[in-house]
Amino acid sequence: MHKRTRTITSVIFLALVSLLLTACATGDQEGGDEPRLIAEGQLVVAMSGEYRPFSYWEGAQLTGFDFDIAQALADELGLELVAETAGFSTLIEGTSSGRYDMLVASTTATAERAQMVDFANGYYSSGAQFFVPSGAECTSIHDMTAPTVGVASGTTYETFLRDEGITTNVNTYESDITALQDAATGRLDGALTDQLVGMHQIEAAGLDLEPCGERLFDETQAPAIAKGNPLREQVNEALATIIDNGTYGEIATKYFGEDISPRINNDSVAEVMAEAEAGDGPPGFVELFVKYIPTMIKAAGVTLAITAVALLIAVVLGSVIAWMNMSKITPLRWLAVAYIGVIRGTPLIAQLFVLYFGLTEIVLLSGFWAGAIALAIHNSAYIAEIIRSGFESVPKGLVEASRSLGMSRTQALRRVQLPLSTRTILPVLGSQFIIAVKDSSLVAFIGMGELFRTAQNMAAAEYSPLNAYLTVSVYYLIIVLVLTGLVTLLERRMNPDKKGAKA
Amino acid sequence: MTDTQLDHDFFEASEDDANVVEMRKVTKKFGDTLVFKDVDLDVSKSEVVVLVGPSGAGKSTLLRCVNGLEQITSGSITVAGNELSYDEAHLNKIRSRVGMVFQQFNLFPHMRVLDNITVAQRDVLGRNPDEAVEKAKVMLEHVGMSHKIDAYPASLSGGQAQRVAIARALAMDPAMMLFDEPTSALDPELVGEVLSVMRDLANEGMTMMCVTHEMRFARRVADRIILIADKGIAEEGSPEQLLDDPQTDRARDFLASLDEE
Repeated sequence: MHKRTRTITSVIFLALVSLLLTACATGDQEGGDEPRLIAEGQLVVAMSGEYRPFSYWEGAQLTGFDFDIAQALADELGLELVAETAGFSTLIEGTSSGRYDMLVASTTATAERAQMVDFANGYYSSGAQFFVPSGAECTSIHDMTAPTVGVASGTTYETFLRDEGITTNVNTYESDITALQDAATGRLDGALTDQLVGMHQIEAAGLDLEPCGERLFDETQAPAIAKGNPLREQVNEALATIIDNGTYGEIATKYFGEDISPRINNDSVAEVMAEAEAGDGPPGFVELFVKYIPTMIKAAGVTLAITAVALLIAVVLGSVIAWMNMSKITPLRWLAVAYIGVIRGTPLIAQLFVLYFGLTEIVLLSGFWAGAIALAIHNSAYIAEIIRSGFESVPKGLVEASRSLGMSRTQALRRVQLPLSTRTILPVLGSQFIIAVKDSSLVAFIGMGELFRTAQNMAAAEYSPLNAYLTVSVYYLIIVLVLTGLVTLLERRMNPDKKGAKA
Repeated sequence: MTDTQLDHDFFEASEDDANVVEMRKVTKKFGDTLVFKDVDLDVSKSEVVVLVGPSGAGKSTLLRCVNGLEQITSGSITVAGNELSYDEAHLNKIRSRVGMVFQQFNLFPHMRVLDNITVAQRDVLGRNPDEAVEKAKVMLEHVGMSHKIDAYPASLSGGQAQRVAIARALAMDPAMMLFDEPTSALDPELVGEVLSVMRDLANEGMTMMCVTHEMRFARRVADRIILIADKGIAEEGSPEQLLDDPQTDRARDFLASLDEE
C-alpha cells in the first residue's frame, strides 16, 4: 500500500513539474528582421467573433469591421488571411504563445497587455460620445444644465456622468440601443455611449441622431503581435497604405457612415508601449500563483461549500430515490426509473441553466442555491443507482441467515444489510464525490465566485489563461487528493476483515 | 425488551409434547408450479430425520417452510406446539428457537467469529454481552473452533465456517435444528469434520431435520429417512428399511441413481 501511494505521489509530482515547465517555456522569442509567421504565405488573425459590428458571424461567414481590416492588411502584405475566433480573454495569450500571428480584435492598447504583446499603430479610436437628436442646439455636454441622459445600465458611463458632475438625470436602459432609440424620440436630451457603437446604430437603424461635441475620453484599438516580431513594422506600413489609398475609408463608411481614420489617436499606443518597455515583463506562473493564493483559497471555500451542500442533499435525495426504486409498489418504481433516466440523460450544464433561468418565474434562486440544487439533483440520480446496486450486492443468504436467527427486518437491515452495502457503496460514492467537486466548476457559468469562475476572472485580468487554469488545477487537485485520502481511510476503518483475509 | 424478544413461556408447552414439528396437509406452490402437495410429517423430540431425494424435488423448500423462510400455500405447520402464522413478531419468535444451517454457511463477513455468534443472542434474546460471550465460547468449544474466536469469516476454511455457523445456531438454545445441505459446498476432505459435529449433536438428543446427499451419515445417524419425490413423501422408514429394503419403485430408482454416481 505504501509503495503504491509513493508511486502515485511521484507521478503527480512529475505531471506538475512538466506543466510548470510548459508554462515557463512560453517566453519571448527575439531576434531577426524577417517577420515570423506560423505558416508561410498565411496570416493567422484572431478576433472574438462576438462583438458586433467589429467581428461577428453572418451565418457561417465571419465578418465585421475587424475582419475587413484584417482582410485588407493581409491583402496589402500579400498573404492569405486565415481568420480564427476564440474567447476574448484567451486572445492575448494565444498571440504571445504563437497560436496566432496577430490580433485584430478591437483590443484596447493597455500597459498590462503591452507586457505580453506588441501593439502596432491604432486602427481606430473610440470612447464615450454624447449623441443628441438631429438639429438640436448642442456644442458640448459640459455646456448643458442638468440634461436628461440615457445610458445602458451597469456601464461606466453612468458613474462617469455622476462623478464628473455633469448630470444626475440619468435614465438607464437594458442596452445602448434602447437608450439611443429613446433619445431619437426626443424624450431625452441625449444618450451617452461608445462612439462607434452609436454611429453604427445610427447607420444601421436609421436613427435621427448626431454626435455632440468631442469624445469624453479616448481608447485606441490596435493590432497585437507577439513580442519582438518584425511583422509589426510591416503591419504599420500596410495600415498606413490602406488608410492612404482609401481602402480603410470604404470599410469604415460601410459600418459607421464615414471614414473614422482621422480620429485615430496613436499617442496612447506609444505611451503603453513605452510603459511596458520600462516594466519587468509579464508575471510568471509562480508570481501569479502566489499573488492569487488568498483569492483562490476564498474561492475554494465557495467550491467546497457548494459541493458539500449539494452532496448532502444528493445523498438524502438519492437514498429516497433508491428506496423508491427497490420498492414493491410499481408506480414508485416507475417514478424512480423515470427520474434517474431523465437526470442521467441530460447534461448538468443544461440542468443548471434550466434551474437558474427557467425557474425564475416560480422562485428566484441565488446563484449559490441554483448551483447547489442543480448539482444535488444531478448527483442524486447517480447516487440512487450506487445505493441500489450496493444493497443488491448483499447476498440474499446473509439476510436469510439473520432472519433465521429471529432478527426482525429492521435488525437485519441495521446489523447486516446496512454495514455490508455501505462497504460496497463507499468507494463508488467517493469517486462520485470527486466527480461532483470537479463538476461544481460548471457553476461558474451562472456567475458564482467559486474556483473556476475565479480562474476565468484571473485569466482575463492577467491575460494568461494558461497560468490561470494551471493555478486552479492545483487547487482542484489538492481537494481531490485530500478527499481520496479520506475515503481510503474510511474504507480501511470499515473493512477490518480485509486485513484478516490477507493474513 | 423488544417485541420480538422471546418470552420464556413461549416454548414451554412443548416440553412434554412428543412432536416438535407437526405438518398437516402442507401444500407449496411457486406461482402456478406445484412443489409438493398434502404433506403430513411429524418430527418427535430428539428425533433425527434426514430428507433425501432427487434434486429439485423440494427437500430444501420443505425444510425452509418449517421456520417460515418459505410461506406455505395451504395446510398447517406446528413447531413446538405453536402453529406458524406469517405475522412478523410471531415468526421471529419461532425462528429464534429453530436453528438453521445453510449450504453456503452465510456467516456475516463483516463480523468476527465471536460477534457472529453473539449478535442475535443480544439483539433477539436480549442477553447481556457477558452472557452472550460466555455462551459463544461454550458453543465454539463444542464445535472445536475456540482458536478462531477473533478471526473474520474470510480467513476460515469451508469446514471451519460451517462449524461456526452451527455454533451460531446452537447459541440460541434452539428447540430443534434445520440443516440444508450443510456439506454440499465443502471440499470432500472437509465434509467429515462437519458431519462429526452433527453426529455429536444428534447423540446429545438434539431434534434435527437434515437435507443431505451423505447416505453414510443418513444410515449411521438418522432415526428416519424420508424420500421426497413426485411432489410429496414417496417413502419413509428407518435407514435399514429404506436403504436396504425399499418398498416402492420410486425409492428403488432413487437408490439405483445413487449407486451409479
